[in-house]
Amino acid sequence: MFSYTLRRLFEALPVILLVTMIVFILNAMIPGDPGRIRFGQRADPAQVEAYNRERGYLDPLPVQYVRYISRLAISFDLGQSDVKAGISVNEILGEAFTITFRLAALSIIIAIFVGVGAGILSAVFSRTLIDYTAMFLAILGVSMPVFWLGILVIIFVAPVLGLPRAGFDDSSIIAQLRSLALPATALGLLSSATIARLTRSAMLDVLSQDYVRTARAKGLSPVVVVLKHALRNASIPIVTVIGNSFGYLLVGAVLTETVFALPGLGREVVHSIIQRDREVVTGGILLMSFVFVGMNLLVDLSYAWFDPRVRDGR
Amino acid sequence: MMKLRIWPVLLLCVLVVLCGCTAKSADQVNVITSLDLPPADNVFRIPLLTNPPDLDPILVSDTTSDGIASKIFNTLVSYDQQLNLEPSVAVAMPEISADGLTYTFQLRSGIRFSNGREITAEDVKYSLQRLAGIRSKRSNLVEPIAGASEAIEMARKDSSLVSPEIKGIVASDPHTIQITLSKPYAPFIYHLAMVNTAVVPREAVERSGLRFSREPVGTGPFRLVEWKENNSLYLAANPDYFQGAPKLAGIRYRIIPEALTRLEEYKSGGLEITVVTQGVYPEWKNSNRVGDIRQWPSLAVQYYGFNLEKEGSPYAGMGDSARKLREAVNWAVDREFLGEVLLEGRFYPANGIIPPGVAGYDASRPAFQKDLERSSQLLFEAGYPGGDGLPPVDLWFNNQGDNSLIAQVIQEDLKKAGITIVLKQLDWGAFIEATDSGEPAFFRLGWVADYPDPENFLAFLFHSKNKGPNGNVSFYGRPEVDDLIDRSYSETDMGKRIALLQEASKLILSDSPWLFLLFGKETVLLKPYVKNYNPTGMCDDVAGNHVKWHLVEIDRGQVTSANSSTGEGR
Repeated sequence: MFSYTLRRLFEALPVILLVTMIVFILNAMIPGDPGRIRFGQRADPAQVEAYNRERGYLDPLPVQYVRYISRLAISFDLGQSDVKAGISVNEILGEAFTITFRLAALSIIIAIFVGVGAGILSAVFSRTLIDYTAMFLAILGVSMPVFWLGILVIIFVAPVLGLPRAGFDDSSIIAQLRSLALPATALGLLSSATIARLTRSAMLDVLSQDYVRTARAKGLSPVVVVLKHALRNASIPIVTVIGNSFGYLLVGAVLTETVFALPGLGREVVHSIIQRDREVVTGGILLMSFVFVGMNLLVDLSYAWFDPRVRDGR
Repeated sequence: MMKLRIWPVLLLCVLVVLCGCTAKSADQVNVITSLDLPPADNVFRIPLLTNPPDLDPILVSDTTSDGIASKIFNTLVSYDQQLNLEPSVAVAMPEISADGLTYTFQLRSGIRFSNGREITAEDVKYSLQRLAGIRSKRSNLVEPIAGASEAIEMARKDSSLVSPEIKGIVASDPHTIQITLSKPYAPFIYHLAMVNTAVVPREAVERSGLRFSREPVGTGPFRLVEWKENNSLYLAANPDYFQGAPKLAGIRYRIIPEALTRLEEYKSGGLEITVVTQGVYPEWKNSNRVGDIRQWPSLAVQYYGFNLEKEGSPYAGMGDSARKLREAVNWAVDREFLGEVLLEGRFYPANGIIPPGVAGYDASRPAFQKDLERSSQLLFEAGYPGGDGLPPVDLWFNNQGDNSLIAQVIQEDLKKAGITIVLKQLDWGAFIEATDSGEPAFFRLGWVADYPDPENFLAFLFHSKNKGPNGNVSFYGRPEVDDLIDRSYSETDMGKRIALLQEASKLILSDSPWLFLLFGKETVLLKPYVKNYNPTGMCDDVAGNHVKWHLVEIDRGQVTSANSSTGEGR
């Protein structure tokens, strides 16, 4: 398992390096002078030049890239914001990422409970009212835009439950959970739809196999058959979709963050793109790429845990 | 057979129910549920659309940062509610020498920074000199001071000069500061009311360096105690504020980008104030909560500018044909419809360049109206009868707010007059770069007053020395106008100054360098229990940049009556 993990980690390195190069070059090519972004479009050219020189923006692109990548490798330093004075990109993205991580974690927990539960029920009670209802709701969930669901939740659910509609209160664990309850529910319900559909199909496939029939014939209880024997074998596609959903939640929650005014990573990056805060955009996209590569790696490693044939290379 | 017949009946029933739910007579009042629960902690909550970039006075260049910084810092002079200048950190208005060059201020004694130290004239000198440094965004504010240009140039060469010496600023004793200008410049006093020139303590700036923007120390009624990026800022009351301790315990800014979320937060009692966006005003105006609406004129103008130096454009130049063409455009647009219908009464037709509230506003001049006959006559006189032979012109605008909506209506209006415009939408950065370089022949822009003086509109937008990036992106130039503006700088009599600038304004209007569009009204919702929120109209939306915040109060005595009047009880 250890050598498998090491091999997969080693394989991820060139991907990350390539991503850093593409992101860096693309960002450098986007029009907009960092000096003018700092001091305004109508700033004194001498002042703009002095700023660009001080920050190294006048150096050739390969020099800038090597400097960036060495800083990144040595101390994971993503640089300084061009828009916000006196604050590092690490500081900006660090705070934003922890909030998005909490949101995504809570959402995926809701999605797993609802999605896997509904998927199993649909498979077990296939072609019954339960199955049709669950799949109808799943289709509805897949097709519903998150910002619309978010707005409905704000208008109709928040007043009933007395939960906060906007912002993130980190004063206590309870306050954090209250702040995240509505956005995580909106986001989690949408992800649960995909998970439910996939769980149903994977479970239907497994439930019709011989060893499940054998287990039932041996007199095992239906719960043990479904949860212990069938679910474990159906779990590889389910884990894949959960892993991917978690990755998407970590990097793609911008609409939810905007509607619920959560200061998360997606909102920060989109806002920085609008403001052309080059360093924050580069850092943010890199962070998102690392998260995605990391999530894929975790999913791959989990295959090996669920199925020994994978780690043995069979 | 029965099955088939029942469907139309069911459908009809559903329609009847739906119509019953939505149809409303015109005189029926909307019932809006909005909770009036004053915050238990006596903290005033304000929504912001975005995170403020900077709070260091020398870096403030946007209204969001300005609104917050103005509560943390003080300037030598400030405004009363009628926008008259009044002393702030200074004990009285300055003594101005007969030649209009030297301003002498006496400082109030006993004013302390929030770090506890008393301010001195040296702090004022240091703070003004910082504006000349390499990190300042507003060096232009000190440029009129003798020796400032040299200091700015020196700081551009040596970035270690944070507060380069300006020989025209002298702290003659701990409570006296003398500022000498290189030549008379009457609007200079307004610069000293802008938050950029606020007094900061040297030791705090030196300790925090660039982070001073995030750890500001000032003399204002509030001090920053918490800043959660993109989430919230908390300003606590400064009990030692020299104009009296604030009545609020604090101000919390909540960053909520989505308009609907802001409105729902306001209705649920999570905000004391919120800005009214498209679609909200008519609903609230005709509701049980009409009392929440507060509206006042803002010192701003919206216009579509012609580039008068654009080669090949029939609208360019000061010739008779081009001028008549521009005038024809001005008579073809229905501003009443734009302001009253499209923008729901939040804007109204402009009658010139200078909006009400700014000295020199001409109330006797009628607003521009739509007159297609006159427009047609002018088109004919310009050599394009019915628009024949007139090439289409691109209208450039940035993709924010209602710009696109307004542009589409104007496009239709002009089409009816025989004038074709093609809409070209860009993001703000690209748009402003293009207008600065003179690329568009026709473009949308607006101007919000930095200070309530006509010079702030006329000199920046029409003086030939400011052509291009300095503000005159119409590339307008007329020697008589330049001369009138220049003469106004050295005129110390306010009445004569304004007369000169009004004369300049009339000349500019006769050249029609713009399609003059709209003046605006700030429109906000404010909870009925808030007292003494008295805005001035200059950058005073929800942020209340010039509101006397130490006087603003949450009246807890009104809680019960306010709740019962709206049928609240949630």
